[in-house]
Amino acid sequence: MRSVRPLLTLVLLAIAAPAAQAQRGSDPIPKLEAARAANPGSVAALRSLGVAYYKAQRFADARTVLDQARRLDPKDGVSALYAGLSAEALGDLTNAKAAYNSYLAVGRTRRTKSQITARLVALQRTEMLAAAKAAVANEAQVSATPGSPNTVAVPPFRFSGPDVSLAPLERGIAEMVITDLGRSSRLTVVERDRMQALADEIQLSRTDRVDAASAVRAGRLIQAGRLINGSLVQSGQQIVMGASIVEVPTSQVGQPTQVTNSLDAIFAAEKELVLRIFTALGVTLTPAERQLVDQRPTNNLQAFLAYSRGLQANDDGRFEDAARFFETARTLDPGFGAANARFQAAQQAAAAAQVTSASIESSLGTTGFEADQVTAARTGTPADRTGGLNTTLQRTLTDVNPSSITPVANDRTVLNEAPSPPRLDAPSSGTRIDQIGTTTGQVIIVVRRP
Amino acid sequence: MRRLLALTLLSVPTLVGAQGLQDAAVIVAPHFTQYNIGSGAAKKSITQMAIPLVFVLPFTDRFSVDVTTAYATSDVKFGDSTASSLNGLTDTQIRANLSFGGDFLILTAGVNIPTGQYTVPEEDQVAAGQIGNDFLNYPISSMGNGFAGTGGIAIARPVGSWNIGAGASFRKSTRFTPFSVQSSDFRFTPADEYRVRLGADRPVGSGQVSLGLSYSAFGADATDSTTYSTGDRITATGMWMVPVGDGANLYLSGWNLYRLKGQQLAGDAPSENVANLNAALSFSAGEVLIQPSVEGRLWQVDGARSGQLFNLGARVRFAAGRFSIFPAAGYSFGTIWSSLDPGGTDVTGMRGSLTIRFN
Repeated sequence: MRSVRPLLTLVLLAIAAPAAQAQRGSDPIPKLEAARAANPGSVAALRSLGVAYYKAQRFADARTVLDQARRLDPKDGVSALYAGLSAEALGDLTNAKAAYNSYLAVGRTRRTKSQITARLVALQRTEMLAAAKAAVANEAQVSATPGSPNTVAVPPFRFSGPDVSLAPLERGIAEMVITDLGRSSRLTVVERDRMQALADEIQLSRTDRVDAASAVRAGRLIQAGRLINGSLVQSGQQIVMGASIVEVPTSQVGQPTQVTNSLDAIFAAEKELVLRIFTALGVTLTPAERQLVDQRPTNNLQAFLAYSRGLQANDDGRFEDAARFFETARTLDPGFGAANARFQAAQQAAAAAQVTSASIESSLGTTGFEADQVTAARTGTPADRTGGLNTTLQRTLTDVNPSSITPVANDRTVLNEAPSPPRLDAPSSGTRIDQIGTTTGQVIIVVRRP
Repeated sequence: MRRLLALTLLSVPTLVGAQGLQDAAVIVAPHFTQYNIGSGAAKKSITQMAIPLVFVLPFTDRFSVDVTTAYATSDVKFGDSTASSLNGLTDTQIRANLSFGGDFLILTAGVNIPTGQYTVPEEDQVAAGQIGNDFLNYPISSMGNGFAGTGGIAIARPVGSWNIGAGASFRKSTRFTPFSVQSSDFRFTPADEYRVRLGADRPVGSGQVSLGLSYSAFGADATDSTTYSTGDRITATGMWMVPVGDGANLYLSGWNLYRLKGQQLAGDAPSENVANLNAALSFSAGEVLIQPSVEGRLWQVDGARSGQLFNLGARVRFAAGRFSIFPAAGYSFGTIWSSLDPGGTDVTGMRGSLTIRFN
């Protein structure tokens, strides 16, 4: 027995080795490439190949064939989804967004749609950061084009004072100013989030303060004509709110203006400051615009402080914290519309942060129309509603060599196949004992022997 | 010896995975089917409980084998008393498929291993016959058909915007003894069968249409002293799948089985036609796919109305880990007619199944 053991071990290894080689050869891509070659106009073949390429991390190849599939059938959801995933993996956020939006229109899996909706929120932020990165990378080129004097940017205000808990007001007040300046149809005001993304990119607020020179640099990069350089100085219960206008192309700083008021009257101070900024910018408001500027998002300082902390958390990418701060703000002042909107956006962003390419794929599940299409790619069988030669072949095979229990082996596990006709039972059919009828009793078969 | 056994056991998963058997599947599918014909004392109930078992073994990308067998119990009752009962293992079918040229050409071969019940005693022949009825279409139509072999070929090619599939096969059966009659064996050799199939499918709008036509030519079934002919069979199938929004698909499908005139013991076997139309709607509710359906079936013998049956059913599919689970249930009602019973007799039925696929 002892001498037999090594021999048996060798035999088992000899069997296992080529078998392991065969396992490595179970890559579906060659099979799917052959299917595409045989039927280049088949959406199923292209889709399956694209999905297989994506899973093999051949993102550029995946995008090419998936785009072909989408051109042939713009309503093909899985092709749109995987085209989006491939484009995103390639860093092409614009096309990724377009493909994802296409999936939202034609896709069929509800859970995947909600994942994609969240993903689009995250992509918006990613795109903004990418744009900021690109602007800094091409700074010389971007800065060479002067911004329009009517394009105004407002970086976060600079806070100084003993009560550091008030520091987040520098973002809240800046946002209020942006909103108010935006009331005028004569000005184009750079969005706060865009400005912040650029600020983060050039580390404008390394010490949470805006350096004037860096602010001008940011203004150039964002192609603003003028910049509002703001400050908040706390002194006891007083707050001094100041602003100066910087001409971005020349870096010339205009005459500063200041408003002093009690902390409780900070919103009145902001309105007064904004009106002075309008004057300094040479903008005359219409009565309707003036009415809009006079509107206050809230009169509750605590709510506004919570809101400002939410902005800070949001800028840091701490979306769950941001949502909590915005929730506090809207609880303290249920009429604080901006807090409500920011709360929802932060919740979406928090959800979006959980969404990954893998989670999007797994949201398709293992059953269902689209899950079946992805499974087809995994198994190398491009079969689905648009046909595919494999489906045709399998139907033919099932008919020419049917299983005796075909409805079980085939139909019952493939819900998109039609019920099968009955199979012949030769003895009962030949002897006609298969007839059902109302008469009772047995059918006696008489056999005459020779 | 133990170490050797342990080594062998450890090697099995490697072998299984290595040979492509990582994609192997096992399907077990308990089925219950019952039809009641007539009522009161004249009522005939045909009940089948079956547990089919299917192993799908893809050894490599190109070579796969499936093995199918079942355990089935079939009863026929007249009134409340069981008149005929059959139970046991059915035949075991082993099919092997070898694909060539990008999978669009397949050579197929199969053997029918006679593991089923043979030489059915006289008192149980009613059950054996009733489950083979084409109109009622039982999942297990036969407990055994003797040793047989099938060889065939299937090919698919694109032609314009159509995919065309064509296939042919030949089945050779050997003599066996299906029944015992008056204490003697009834020896039977099923006829050779030649089958050809032509199918076509193509996308239509956002949906798909598929059509199929097959012709089965049979020689003569031979017994000890005489020959029968079940009659050649022409089967047409068709399906139209239409997406109806929000992931739902409507399937309109049908099949028609036409059996040409044949020869039976007492004379000519009349022609027979069974036509079936089915409409099913598939939609997802979360991870669960639901497919309610309605089905109508019409049976004619020698051109005369012989039966009609309506089926209401639903199939469901969901996954649990590596299991795919397909519960299904249905209710049937209809009428059968004969020359002796022109007024017709009511038929009701129900069926349920729980198909579980593991891979």
